Amino acid sequence: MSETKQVELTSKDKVSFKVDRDVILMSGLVKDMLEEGDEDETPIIPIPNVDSKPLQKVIEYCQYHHKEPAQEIEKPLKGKIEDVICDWDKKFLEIDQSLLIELIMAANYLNIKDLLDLTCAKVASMIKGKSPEQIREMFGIENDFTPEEEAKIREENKWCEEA
Amino acid sequence: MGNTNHPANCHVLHEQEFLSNQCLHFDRDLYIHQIFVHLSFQELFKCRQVSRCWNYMVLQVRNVHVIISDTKQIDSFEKVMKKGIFHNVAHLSTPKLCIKYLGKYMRNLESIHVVKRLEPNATILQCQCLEGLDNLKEIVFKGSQVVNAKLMRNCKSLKRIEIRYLKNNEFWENIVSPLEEFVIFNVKMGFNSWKVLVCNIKKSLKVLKIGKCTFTKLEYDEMSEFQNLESLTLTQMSEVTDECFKFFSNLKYLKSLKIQSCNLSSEACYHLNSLKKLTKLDMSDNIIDQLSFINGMKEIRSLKLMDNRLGNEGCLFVSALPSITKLFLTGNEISNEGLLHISQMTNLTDLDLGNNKITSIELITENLTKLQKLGIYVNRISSADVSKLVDLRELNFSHNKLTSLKGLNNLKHLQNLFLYGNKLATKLFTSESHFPKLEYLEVQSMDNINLKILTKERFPKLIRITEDKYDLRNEQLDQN
Repeated sequence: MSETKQVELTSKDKVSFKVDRDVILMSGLVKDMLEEGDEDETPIIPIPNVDSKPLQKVIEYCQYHHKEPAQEIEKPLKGKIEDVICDWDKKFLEIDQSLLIELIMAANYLNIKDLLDLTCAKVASMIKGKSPEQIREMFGIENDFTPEEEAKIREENKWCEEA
Repeated sequence: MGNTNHPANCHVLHEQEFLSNQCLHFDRDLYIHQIFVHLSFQELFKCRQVSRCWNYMVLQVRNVHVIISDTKQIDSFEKVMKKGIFHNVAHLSTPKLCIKYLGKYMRNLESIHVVKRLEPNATILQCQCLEGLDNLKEIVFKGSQVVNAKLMRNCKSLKRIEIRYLKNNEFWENIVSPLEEFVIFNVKMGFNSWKVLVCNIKKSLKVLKIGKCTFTKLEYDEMSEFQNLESLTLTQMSEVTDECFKFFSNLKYLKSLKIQSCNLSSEACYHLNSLKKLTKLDMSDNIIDQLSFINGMKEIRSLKLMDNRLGNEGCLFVSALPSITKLFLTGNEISNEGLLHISQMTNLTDLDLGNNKITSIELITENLTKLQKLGIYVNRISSADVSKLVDLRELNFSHNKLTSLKGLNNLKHLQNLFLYGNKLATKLFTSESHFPKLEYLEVQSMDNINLKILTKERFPKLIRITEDKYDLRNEQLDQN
């Protein structure tokens, strides 16, 4: 048996992570880069768009899910995200909002579809049941509508709220 | 209407207007779109009220599914629709299709479901509404009336039609699009309509499902035209005589066949013996007692013959098919002798022998070591040793006469274990027990479990344990 091959990832803030090759192949980006060629003992792959904190989480996710493939999340979500994901994912998502959003960006950049799906569904679940005002507050968004515009959209939405 | 012309009072913002806006706290569109796909249309449209940027993004989301649940809502929907906010909606469910200008304001619509939940057969399909829906691929209609059926002819991209309850004839002849899937349930159409319809869709059709219709022999004969058919389902068809099935000899490409609850006899099945390409066959709930017709179906991987009248001889024919991995023989008249044959089928991963007359399953537990699912409920088994079935995910032993069950500790992949209605005298688990994947456990009594053993380390995934509550000396058990 050959020993497991490793890959070294370097984050934006220059922190290195050694990861099993099999594990990090979950990332479409890394996979493409490794396929391009060099047969180094431990290839070094710079991840210049991702900080060490989210990268650490990404690796954690891959280490668990490369053996336990994630189940597809229903679209649209009927209830809360917590009702449809496994215990491990629930724990994994117990993070603050800024890290969650960094994770979305990292999952997108590294092309890890299941992680992108999970984190985006989590945000969707946070949006559910909230008023537009609460959503603005949650994401720090400024209300840039004129009162007339706002009234117009509210009027247009009435019919589906009756449902 | 061109793509760039929004109706006058639609206030979609232009790209430049929001590019400078800070959207969420992270980069725009990519992520927000991924998030929006998880929201229902009500939640999604609510997000329009957040900001100009969000309003713009919401209106770009494709694949939105709009559901009108009440006929009273249709008027207000129609008014809002004219503001041009539904251009990207792909799916519409409505209790009544009578909305005008759909083609103008919902030009990307791909599927329409016309279904009234509480009165399923009392709704209307107004074909005028379909004009201009050039991308429409699917219509699902559960109702009794189609108006202006001739206009169906304009729907040229339809791929799938599902109709239930409809009684008017003129509709069928107007389906001219090259359908890939056609589903009818409880409809009346008459021979002439069927003949025209078959002629129109015979080349393209791949999947056909017919339920609760009364077809005559002539109508069955027409089905021999479906030469490219890959999947056929017939359920609850009445008056199926032996002669009806002659058309099968022409369906050379059929891969999946289901004939359920049609009171089908072995004689009628004789006409199936030319179906050499079948990989899935389901003939559950019929009166089949003899299986010589499956002899040549060497490619079958999944075979379901639940609730028939098969005896041990049937098992001999089944065991001669080399590709089967999933076998369901629930509710037949199989006894130990039949297991002699089934135990030869060493590629089986799923086996269901529930509700038969089996008293010993040693042959199965010794030989079928690739099994992942085993159902052997409602039989008369008194003891078993499952130690060799190391790949088992599900084991259902409910309603037997089990007094001892050995080898459980070897089943490291077990997720579900059902043991209701037995006579187990000993404890199920020991201090060596470790079930890393077990989630559901049904036991005859909590007395079967040493509660001290049930630790999180030994059973990390266990979600539910239930105990047998009801009296088992009823119905099926009495027969045993």
